[in-house]
Order: sequence, then C-alpha cells, then structure tokens
Amino acid sequence: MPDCVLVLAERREYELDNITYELLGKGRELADQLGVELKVLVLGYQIAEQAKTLARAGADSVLVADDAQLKDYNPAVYRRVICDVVKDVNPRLFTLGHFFLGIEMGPSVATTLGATLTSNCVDLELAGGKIVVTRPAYNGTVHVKIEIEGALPYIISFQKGVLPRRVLPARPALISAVPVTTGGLVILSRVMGIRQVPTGEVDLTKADIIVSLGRGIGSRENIQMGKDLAAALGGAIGCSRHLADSGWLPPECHVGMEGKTVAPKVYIACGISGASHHVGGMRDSDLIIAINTDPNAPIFNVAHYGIIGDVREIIPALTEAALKSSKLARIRKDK
Amino acid sequence: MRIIVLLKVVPSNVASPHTARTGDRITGKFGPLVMNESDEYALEHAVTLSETLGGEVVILSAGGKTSEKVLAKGMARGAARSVRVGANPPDPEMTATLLAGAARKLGFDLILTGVESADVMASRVGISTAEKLGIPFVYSVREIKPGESEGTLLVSKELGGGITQMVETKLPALLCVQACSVPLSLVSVTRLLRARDQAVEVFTTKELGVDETGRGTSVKLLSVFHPDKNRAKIITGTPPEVSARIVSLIEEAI
Repeated sequence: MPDCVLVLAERREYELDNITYELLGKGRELADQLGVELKVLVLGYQIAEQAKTLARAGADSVLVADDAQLKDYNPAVYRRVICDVVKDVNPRLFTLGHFFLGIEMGPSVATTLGATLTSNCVDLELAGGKIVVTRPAYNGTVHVKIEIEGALPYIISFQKGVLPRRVLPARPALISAVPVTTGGLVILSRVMGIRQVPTGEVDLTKADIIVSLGRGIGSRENIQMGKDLAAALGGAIGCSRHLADSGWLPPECHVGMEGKTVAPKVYIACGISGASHHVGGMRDSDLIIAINTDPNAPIFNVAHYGIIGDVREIIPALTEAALKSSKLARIRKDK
Repeated sequence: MRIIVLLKVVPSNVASPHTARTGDRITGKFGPLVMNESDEYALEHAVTLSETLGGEVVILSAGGKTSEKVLAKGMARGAARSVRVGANPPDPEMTATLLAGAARKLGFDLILTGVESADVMASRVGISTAEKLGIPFVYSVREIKPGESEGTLLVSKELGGGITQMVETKLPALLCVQACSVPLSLVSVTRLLRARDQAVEVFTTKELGVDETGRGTSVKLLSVFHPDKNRAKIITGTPPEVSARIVSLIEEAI
C-alpha cells in the first residue's frame, strides 16, 4: 500500500530554494489528512548541511542522495536516483516544483515509471478520497479544476510562490542516506561549464520602485519612454523575458523566475501579460500597478490596481504627473 | 542529418468570457490558429542548424486537419516536410506516445521542440517523448552549436538569474528550446504562397500502432473559470486622470 507523501527538494547553488518549503507546507497538510508520513528527498553532493536544515522543516524523514555523480545536474542520473527512491518508498503523492529541477524530473520520472503526472498546478484539494487540482491553461487566462485518475503514484508539480509558506513545528526527522546506483546507465550528456552574465550597474533587487516593461511597449524606440518614467519616479527599469531576450534591455533587467526575483515597494507592470514565469519573480511586491490593453491579461490577477489602456499613452502622462509631485522630487534628488 | 521539430498548433488566445467545458475539453471563442511560440523558435534553430550541418528539417505535429495551414507556413520557414499525426490526443502523455512513434517511423538525428505549449502549459511533451525514445534531453536551451567531436552538440541551458550551463550531448538527442532565444527570420510572401501548395503528409494512429483512446484520459475536467479572486481594482479615466491617481498611490506606498 502506498504509505507516504514524498516531496522533492530543490536547491539553488548551495541553498534550498523556497519552493521546497512551500511544498513541505502543503505536503504536511496532505500527509496529515491522509494519515501517512511526509518524506523529503534531496539530491546533490556534499549536502549534509542542507539535509540538517530539511530535518527541521516539518518532514518525518529526510532522504539524502549525496554523491559526486550528483554534483552537476545530469537528467539521466537524477532520474535514475529519483525513480529508485519512488519505487522504494511507494508514495501516494509525489510533489515537486514546476521549477528548474521539478519541471524536468516530473515528465522524466512519470514516463519512466508509468505514473500519472499533473504539472504546473496552483492548488490541490483532497475531496472525499478524490484528488482535485487547479492549474492554468491558455497562457493563464483561464484556470481549470481537474480530478486526477490513473496509475499511482500521482506526481504533482506546483508553481513557485502559489502555496502558502507555513511555519511548521519542527519534529525530529530521521535523516537517511539513499543509495546512488548508476550501474548500466549510459551517460550521453555532460556539463562542460557554467557562464554567468555580468551584473550591471543597477541592482534591481535593491530598488524601491521598478518600472517593468513588456511586449506592449511595442518597439525598441519606446524603451526610452519607460526609462524616462523610471527616472521621474526615482526608480529602476525592469522587463519581461521577451524584452531581455530580444536585447531591448540587458539581461540583468529581466524580472521573473529565470531572471531576478524582486519585491520592491512599488512595481509598475507596463504592457506585461503576466505569464507565471514573470509573476513568480515579482508577486511579493508591496504595491503592484498593471497597465495593459487586454482586460483578461493574467497580470490583473496579481496587481492591486489596474489600468486598461495602451502603455504608450499612459507612460508619458504618468511621467508628466510624476515630475509634478514634490514628494517624488525629493526621492529623485536623494538618488 | 535529419532534424525533427515537434510543433504544436494552438489558438492565439482564449480571451473570451464564454470559455466552457464540453466533456473533458475546453471550448470557447478562440483566436486564429498559430504556431506555439517556443516551438516556432525551435524551428528557427533547426533551420539554422541544417544550414550549418546540412540535412533536412521535418515538422511533426499531432492534431486535426485545421492545423495544416499553419504547418504549411512552417515549410515557408525552411522545413522540407510537414507531417501531421491525425489525432486529438487526450493528454500530453498520449501526445508523446504518438510523436515518439512517428519520429521512429521517420528516423532522425536530432529532435527540437519548445519548452511549453501556450494552451495546455504542461511543459511535458518534449521530455516525455525523449524518455519514450530512450534518448538524452536538454531542457531550456538557448544556443545550439556543433560539438567538438563528431555526433555531438554543444548547447547552452538556462539555469536562471543570468547563469547558463554548457552541456555536451551525443546525438540523437532532444532539445527543448526557450522562446525568444534567437531572432526569428522574416519569411517572404513568395515563400508563404509557395508553401501553401505543399502538401502536409498525414500519419494515422493505426499506422503508428497506437490506440489513441485505449489508455483513456488520466484526468477528469471538472470546471473552467477565470481566475479573478484577486482581481485588481481598475482605475478609469483619461491618461492624465489615471496618472494623477497612480502618482498619489505611489506617494502613499513609499
């Protein structure tokens, strides 16, 4: 009989990513409802400290795969270890992040084991023995509720930042090592190196006000409009993935899960639709104002205030209004 | 060198309040059919690579006949052939089964696809297809170059926060490409017109030996709704009016 809820921990460099704690919070709730143990699996090399941190994070047991073969991420090796653990502990639910590691391991493990994967979820409820999840569709313009059926285990990945991060009472969790056996595995890809984009002059994560531009800005020439607004507010300029990738703004301006995670006092999203990748990098901002022509744009689900309109008309008017404000003038002067 | 591009044809948007559920499908007023964004970038990478390494690009898609116009546009972008698996798969796992079967039938050295489809948003089909074919995959790819030794590629994979990992992979392999990772080349009207006359080849599920409905869906769609729980307060007025309101909100917040 399946007898636990298993969570896959996600690491960034040498720290556990917050998604891990979000998954543990939900995992605890589900394990208690089902009356089963909550286990967490972490993979890497020389990660004893992280295992100890995990042991204080609300799980009943911590499974640690600590091996030199797991130093650099290789999908084939990670898949082998995770599949071995899943077969061994036989979870009813296996939850992971719809994030760097989980987004790859979800389909990889599910297809290998013939398990049932539901990815990119924002919520999960247990309703009378049934598992009902909520997930976005059609660029996030709608959400769907689905009941999961099919072969166990149910593998469910969650977006980062959607599950409430609960402070769980620490319980003395058992830490145990899991074997890393890669015998017979043919390694067809290997990591050759790491490249880091140099950080620019402005550290976006320290800005109080961010004016962030998306595709709605229309053209490269209009970027200056956004920069003028940022200057008038004494703030910094950010952007969506599309603009950074198109080279309209440098990569360090990219706000989102793959870019910078920011939480300024004021975040103004200009012509940004609000894909989950972007929202994951700014949803904790104190005041979010969104300007977009599409009233159904998902950005309006995270914004506190919205303006339905063309950013190319609103931004110049807003710049003018900001320049008239004496309070903002003081901030500009301090900068 | 044969490069297969797994390309999904999707509605351009679903911005309609009339979205509803019909059985396990979402129905509603959708925009015109287009190439899924990250898949279109995968096609761009594929065409560029085939120009460097020689060989041909074949588009592979699972879907109904209405998708053929879009698949023909893919040939205008530089693909030699477009193949459609005539099916309406109920879930991404079945899509992967069909695409893996068709890829095996076609033969390939490399498969490229996007990281996510705009409609289902599962980020699933690429990796599951690779696993079914037993070939290595690299996800979130931005650059693809020939590797130092023959039969290898050197790709850069995004790790977030401006960090990129360089990965060498042996061929055959499957790469999931990020949107916007290269500029899309412009396609001339002449090529678009010429491509309209090129036939899209069709594989049936029977030919592939897959019973599309056999496995059944692993999900039951209960409801579709617009996520409006935390709907923003909408400020209305002329640009100067809304601007004055925003400035006072900012003044309060800082």
